[in-house]
Amino acid sequence: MTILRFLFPLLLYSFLGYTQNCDFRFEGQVIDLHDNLPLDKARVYVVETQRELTTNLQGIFVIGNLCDQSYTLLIDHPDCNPLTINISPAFSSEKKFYLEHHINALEEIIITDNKEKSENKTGIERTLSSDEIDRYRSQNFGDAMAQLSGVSKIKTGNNIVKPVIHGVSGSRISIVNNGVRLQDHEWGADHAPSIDISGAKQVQLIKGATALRYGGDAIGGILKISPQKYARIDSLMGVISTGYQDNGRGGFLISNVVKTYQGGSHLGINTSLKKLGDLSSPEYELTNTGNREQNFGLFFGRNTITQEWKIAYSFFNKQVGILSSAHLGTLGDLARAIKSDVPLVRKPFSYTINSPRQTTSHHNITAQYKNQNPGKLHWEMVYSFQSNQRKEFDVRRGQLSDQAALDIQLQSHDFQFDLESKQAGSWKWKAGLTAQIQDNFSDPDTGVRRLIPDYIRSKLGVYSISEYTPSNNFTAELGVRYDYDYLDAQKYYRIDDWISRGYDAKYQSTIISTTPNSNYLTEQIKKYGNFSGSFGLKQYLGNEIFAFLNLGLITRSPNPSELFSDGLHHALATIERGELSLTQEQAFKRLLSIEKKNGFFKFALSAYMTDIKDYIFLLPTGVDATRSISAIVSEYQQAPKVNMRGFDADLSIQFSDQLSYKAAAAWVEVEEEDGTPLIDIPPFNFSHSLVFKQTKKTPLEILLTSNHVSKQNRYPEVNFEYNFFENGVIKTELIDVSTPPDAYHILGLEVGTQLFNRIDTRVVIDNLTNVTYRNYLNRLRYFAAETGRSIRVEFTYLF
Amino acid sequence: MKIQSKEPILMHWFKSITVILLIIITTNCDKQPPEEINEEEVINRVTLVLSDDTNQSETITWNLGENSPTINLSPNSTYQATVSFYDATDPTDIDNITTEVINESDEHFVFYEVATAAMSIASASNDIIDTQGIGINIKTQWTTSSASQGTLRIYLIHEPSSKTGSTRSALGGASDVELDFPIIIQ
Repeated sequence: MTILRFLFPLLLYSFLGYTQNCDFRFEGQVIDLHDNLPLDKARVYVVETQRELTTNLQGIFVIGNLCDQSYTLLIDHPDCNPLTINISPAFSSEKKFYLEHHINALEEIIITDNKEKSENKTGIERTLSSDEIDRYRSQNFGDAMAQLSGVSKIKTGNNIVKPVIHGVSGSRISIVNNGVRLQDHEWGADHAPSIDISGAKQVQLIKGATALRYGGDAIGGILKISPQKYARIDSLMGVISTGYQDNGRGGFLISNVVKTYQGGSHLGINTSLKKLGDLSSPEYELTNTGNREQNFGLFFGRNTITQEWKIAYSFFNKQVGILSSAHLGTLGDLARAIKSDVPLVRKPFSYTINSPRQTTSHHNITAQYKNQNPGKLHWEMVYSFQSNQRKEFDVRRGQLSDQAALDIQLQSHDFQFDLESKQAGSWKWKAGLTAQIQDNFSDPDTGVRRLIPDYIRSKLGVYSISEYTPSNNFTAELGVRYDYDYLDAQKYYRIDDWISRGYDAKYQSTIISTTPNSNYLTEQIKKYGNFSGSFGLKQYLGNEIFAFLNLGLITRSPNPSELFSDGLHHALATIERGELSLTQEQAFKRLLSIEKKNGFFKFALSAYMTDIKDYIFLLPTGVDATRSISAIVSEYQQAPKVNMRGFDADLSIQFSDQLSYKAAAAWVEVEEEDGTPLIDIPPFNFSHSLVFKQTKKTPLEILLTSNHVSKQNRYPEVNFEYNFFENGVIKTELIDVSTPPDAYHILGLEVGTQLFNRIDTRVVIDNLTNVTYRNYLNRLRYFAAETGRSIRVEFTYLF
Repeated sequence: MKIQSKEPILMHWFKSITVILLIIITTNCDKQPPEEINEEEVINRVTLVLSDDTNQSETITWNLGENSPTINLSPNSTYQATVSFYDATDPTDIDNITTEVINESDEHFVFYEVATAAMSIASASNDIIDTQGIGINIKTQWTTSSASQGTLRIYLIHEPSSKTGSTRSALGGASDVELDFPIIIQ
């Protein structure tokens, strides 16, 4: 490792007096440059006397019996760049030494005492390490996130997967990628976040709502995806990874290359290509479930010790086929599909993606600057521009076949400024400001009424978080945040709809004009002021166990899809309708956690309770049979009060150097005040894995995983009746769209080794026993079973 | 060890961000109202033209939002029936969607189901034939027997996976139209 010289003598204590020749005493303190915290177990080597010492918990070392001469000290810490320094005890007897502790921050394993990585000190965090991310490199974002306890996934088929945290998803969780909140996934379960995790280095799940820095509306929690940081060395590093999967008969090619310089500059390129054809369940092909993904990223930055800046561009592009048999025209089609045990459309394997299909492209440009001068205020600025385009293609006639039925473009500009005090002492604070402007455009060429209208939204937020740490055993944290949310939408309403929904009295003033086609053009301006707050405590209980208490008050304004949705979701024969009169929802979340992060036996337990006032949800309200196609009508509504409670548990045991065991369980229950359970709540799940890992001689890793998902027994009844024609008579049957599927248990096996000493090779078998099962949180569960056994072979070359 | 002056960078950042934000705000403020969308391919009118042996013809029309009218037939008769689908959103410019259905005969199929009424429906000799030689039931022949009553259901199926099945499930595809008409044979 290159030896760098970083010395910032801040305090030069006074000369203590001249005594005997070799009776000088020198006291030093080794401090982490970035957060001003003392570094213990740093090695201090006195070259002249060949003495070696280590620092204590306060980072202090004392050398006695020094003579009146100059000495050379080598200061070294396992996580830092070493430091060489000359001292003259005759002139100064105390000194602080600042070591750059960065390298530690960057090697991602969850290390104990990893102070600077936590987003907030009193919140419980789960981390997906780079190892685990690598394992899911070729998979989609939602599937990878579901590896974290407390995270499940809501899906539309197998390619559109979005994370659910503590029973909520969409706008109730926030996904922060590279310092910026992702703006694209708030439009219902069939819109997945556009993130490629192959370039990520770490994912943190912050449970509870205490990370106010990224917004005050995340009731579920925050998923923070961080890129790798680079050491200040001259190097070319990277990874090339490729693989093949038998289920879907496709594969991926990922390459990340970074050039770093000793001066701290770095330049990198990420590319990833993925292609899969039709997947298959154990018994049949899942026609039209292929997908393609092309991602590209470019970044350039410089990381000096006191400053950091970075400019990054990324492009995410995905084409996804939607299961053919999920394409429905009418409620009758839905009834027949549910009645049939197998999908009604089954064709031989193909790579072709036909309609219905989705294409998403997401551009993101981010520029950030960080200033972290020791002993001063640290500050950071981020500007980001995101452009998200989403097209959905339905099965249409004639010239419209190639015309998207939904075409929305959402552009967001985000600016964030953060200030953080880094003084030593028991009080610390953070404060910041966020500003956002969003412009949504729905292309009228679709020939279909806009699901989401054109709108402009601006948000301005300020937050402040104070932290009090009187000792290593206790931390208290208090945060407040205020957001002003302004939304201006222009939307056409059919006059008959407008009247039947009772808008004519209340919203008459919003009408701009009446069109010849019996529509009102209206302008809807919504303003919300949202106050959020958090309070957290962390207490050391002894035996490496910490307890955390979190209280969060979260206010979320209704999003445009909740206010304005207006359209037919073909996949579910559902007409979704927004509601203009929605107000903010307000949640009060209480989270209690106990965690032991060290030792051969580690665990984390969290229990939470959330009361949500005016909870916004989509409720099927009836069947619209007046159309040539009858459909279920679902309307956004507010429940006066919703109660959520749940727990997450993690446990891991390291039996020996080679053998370890991990288990995670999560349970959540959500109901309205009168006891009516809410729809689409993840059932209890329990997963565990046994890992055998041998690093010496030939590296070998064997991982056996088991995942049990129970049947959700608490669900609302939203069934409907349908008249079947059977042998010349009408038979009315109740169509059960409510009862969740049965419990299931799936196994997975993974074997990894290294070929030719350079190439990491891994064979992954998902759904090892080829179980046929259906998933309650898959919106397409009525039509087909989940994918069957899948064998994947991956080769990764690191350099 | 080198400590750079931060001021220029800071100022530069503030300036550029202010400029960017100003541009965005000013460009967004004079937004045009969104274009009104003319919904296409909406089927909101279905007609059945029935002519009996004496070439007397009757037109039965369903419009969106209305109850389906009753179809009255005589016992032991044959009728020639032609079904048509329209987009009548704009009354001055009614779009006949049947033309597109006929142009894409391979991707379409009209399917009838009858409950309790004593009658049968088959593709007529002058029906539209797809490239596989299958009549797509735009033109059908209805044969009634005894006096009875029941329900007739018409489906317009888009992209059926088969055109030879005898139940709706066996045909696959998505229903663009699924309409019930009461039938009285007397």
